[in-house]
Amino acid sequence: MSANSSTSCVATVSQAPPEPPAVELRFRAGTLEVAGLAPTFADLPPSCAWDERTACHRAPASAYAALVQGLRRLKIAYLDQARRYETLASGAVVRREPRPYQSEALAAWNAAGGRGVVVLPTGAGKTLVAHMAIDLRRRSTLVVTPTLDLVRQWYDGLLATFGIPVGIIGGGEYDVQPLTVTTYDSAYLHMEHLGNRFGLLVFDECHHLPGASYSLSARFALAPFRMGLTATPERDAWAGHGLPSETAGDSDTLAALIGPIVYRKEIVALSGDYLSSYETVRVTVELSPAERAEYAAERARYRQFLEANGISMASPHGWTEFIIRSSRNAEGRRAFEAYRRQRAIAFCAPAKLDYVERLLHQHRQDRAIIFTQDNATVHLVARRFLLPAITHQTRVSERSEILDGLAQGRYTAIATSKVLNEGVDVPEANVAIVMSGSGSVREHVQRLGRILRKREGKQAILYELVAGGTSETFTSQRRREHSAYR
Amino acid sequence: MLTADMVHARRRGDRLVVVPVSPADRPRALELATAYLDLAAAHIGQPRGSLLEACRGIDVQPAEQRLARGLQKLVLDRCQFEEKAALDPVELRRTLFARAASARRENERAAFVRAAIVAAEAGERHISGDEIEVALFADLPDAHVLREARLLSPEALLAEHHLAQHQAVLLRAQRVRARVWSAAPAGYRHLFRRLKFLRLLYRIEELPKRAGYRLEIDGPYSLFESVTKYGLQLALALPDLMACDRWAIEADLRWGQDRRPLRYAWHGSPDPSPQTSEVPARRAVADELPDEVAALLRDLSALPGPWRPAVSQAVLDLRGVGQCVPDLELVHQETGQTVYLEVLGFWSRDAVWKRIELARKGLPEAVVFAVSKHLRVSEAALDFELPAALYVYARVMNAQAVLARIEDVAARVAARAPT
Repeated sequence: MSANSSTSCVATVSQAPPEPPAVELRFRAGTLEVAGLAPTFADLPPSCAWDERTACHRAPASAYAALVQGLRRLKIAYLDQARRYETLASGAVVRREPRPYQSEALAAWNAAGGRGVVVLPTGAGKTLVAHMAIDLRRRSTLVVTPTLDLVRQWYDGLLATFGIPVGIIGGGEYDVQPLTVTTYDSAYLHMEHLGNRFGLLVFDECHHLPGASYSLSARFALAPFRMGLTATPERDAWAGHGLPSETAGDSDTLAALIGPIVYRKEIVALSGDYLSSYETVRVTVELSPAERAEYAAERARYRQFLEANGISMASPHGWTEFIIRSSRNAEGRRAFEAYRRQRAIAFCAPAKLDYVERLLHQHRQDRAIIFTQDNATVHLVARRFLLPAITHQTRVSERSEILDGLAQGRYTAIATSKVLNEGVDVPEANVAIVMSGSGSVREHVQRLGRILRKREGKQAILYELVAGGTSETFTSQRRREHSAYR
Repeated sequence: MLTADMVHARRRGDRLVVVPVSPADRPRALELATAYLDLAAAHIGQPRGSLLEACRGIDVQPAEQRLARGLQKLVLDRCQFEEKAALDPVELRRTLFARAASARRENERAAFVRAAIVAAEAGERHISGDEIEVALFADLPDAHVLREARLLSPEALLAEHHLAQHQAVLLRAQRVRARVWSAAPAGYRHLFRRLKFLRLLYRIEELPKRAGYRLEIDGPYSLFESVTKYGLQLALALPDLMACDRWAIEADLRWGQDRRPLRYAWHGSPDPSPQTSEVPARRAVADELPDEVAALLRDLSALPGPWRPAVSQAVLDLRGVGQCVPDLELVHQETGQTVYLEVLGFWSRDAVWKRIELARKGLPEAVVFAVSKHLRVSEAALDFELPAALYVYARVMNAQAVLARIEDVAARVAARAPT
């Protein structure tokens, strides 16, 4: 079907000469306009409402499938000016043999009407499941990912599998093709214009989707088929602020935006057979006496401010309260500075850097990824050890070169903060060094996932460096609360 | 534009109130504005990091933090930075880091000696080690060089900050209700065009006593859920609302980290509510008309007969189809019948077809649309039984010809009236 054609659907059976349908569906800024029905017409799906501003019925674009089915059921002829997505002329040109669980996941998704979330551990091959889904349904597809690194990775994968031009939206590019890859940020910005161009949406790392902003990109799209991919469907909203991790309710939102969880397998179920064997090592490094004294003094100043102002960092609003109160006077500003300083001492203690030096030497024949909590530490590590750095400021072309360099062995280690936490695929990477991080279980599991992709004879190892006697000890305990670390 | 966290605002019950710079604080605000502007001027040719460091060096009291950050942001928005490095940092990193990886991999026993690797790279490039260190991350934003700064006076910067605070509040708006009054039809026309350009939707309602119009502005999806998705468009629309002669806005917000529902109001002076506004005499605004319309108004006024022309303040709204904003209206002195005239002139053909659609879909008012012949639209494009007509003119509008169309349309309306 041409991308610019409209579809006339006359559901009534009649011998009379066909008349143009009086009812028309149009896509407008992430919504569907249904023109030609009386304001009082009440048989449309509940998501439709009369809009007096434009004198027509209106529904969120995501109601497209239900709306079309409703019109057909009522035998109302309609002219479909909304749908602008295509049926792909051909499917995959390269088909890899799926693992049993990948076939099971696709079958479960298909049985659910082509809507639902597949939960598989990092490195288990979620991308292949999505490629199989595109091949099965053959609709114009938009893949939405959290980072530009993943955009690059999906782009390469789709190009190799389907052999047709693949579009990219984001990172300074805007090229829309029947197969297109974008980021959640760009999808939020552009879906109100592009929401009718795709029949299948793939949300990679779909735990990012729930939320006031990003969720609109799912509601602004009329795609009848939707697939969510994640290793960790539950969001830990309070990560990094000393609060309980997982929150309830997001799965419900994911179910509304994409569909229910249709298939699930955990790391421990696949480790060894389909993922690399791994071990995790927690290393406690001791601060020097001077650092310990400074840490204690700064920590005390910060804690005193919290107590004096009755701020509990365990409450959902503790962090916001601290930010607001600390900006009100000089004492608060000093307390905030103390907070930053004590964190910096713990996150980037000289003893930690010395230990990183040892690990880099020990694993000089391996491929290591060093994770930090902040960009300043990434650049410090990059300068000191002369390692490539990847942050949100790194351009896509250089990211590609660095990841390729790590894969090819041109580099033996790279440093990054949070941008490589998710999804980036470097099968050769076998060492992770977590210098610092948040209390997020998800982040820690995702970081482990970077080194788990199966390779012949590969044994992965994750080092977690913790500054002894600091709050990092507690943070570390929190982020290890997952079966993968037990 | 400022970000929402740079707005100095207070909650008063369920309302958010923007706190302007008080007269007492104005000298200090001007001092800060001057300081940031001077720093920007002095740092042309310097890296962004140096400018930011210098800005951080300005002594700012805790109570001034938000104002200072806002002024700094507005000054930085007026600065243009560019990457400037003698060496290509990406290429340098590629070779230096590959060299370091190779050295580490091949070095079984000895410790990794950073200085030796940098020296080897520098030697091959015939430059110093320091130059390597400077160029290594010269492409990071902090290293970018200030090329140009479009600076303004401290007073103008404060005025910009004042507007920017209100715009930034609207970034968190779900919808805006506005009351506007414009002496010239062009004011409304400009506003509606901008709202459409910004892809906003609105409901329109005429205020009593010809005191203007009430608009409720949001976006298509707002019908289903109150979202702040349209906040940027609403913020961008604020200067257009303010361009009306009198205006007042009220917005529903989701404010702060907890996205608390609040209301926010702001208005030009005086408030254009029916109780307080006084519509100026129509003759006073004739000067604001485009030249060709003003000339036509003069010529029509000079013609004998019962039709009296005046500048129109009407917005003709056919709900769900669109609006038209006539320039003039002619009132029959005996019957009180009104016929409107909108001069489309050299606008696009699309605009003409939209007016034709309005008339065909039931615009109840009698209207004549004056269209330049360059738009290649025939007067026959409008059905003769409708209460509307096209007047196609060659170079300038002829008052006699316009009056003939006015009388023709008036006769059609009279013929359609129930007997």
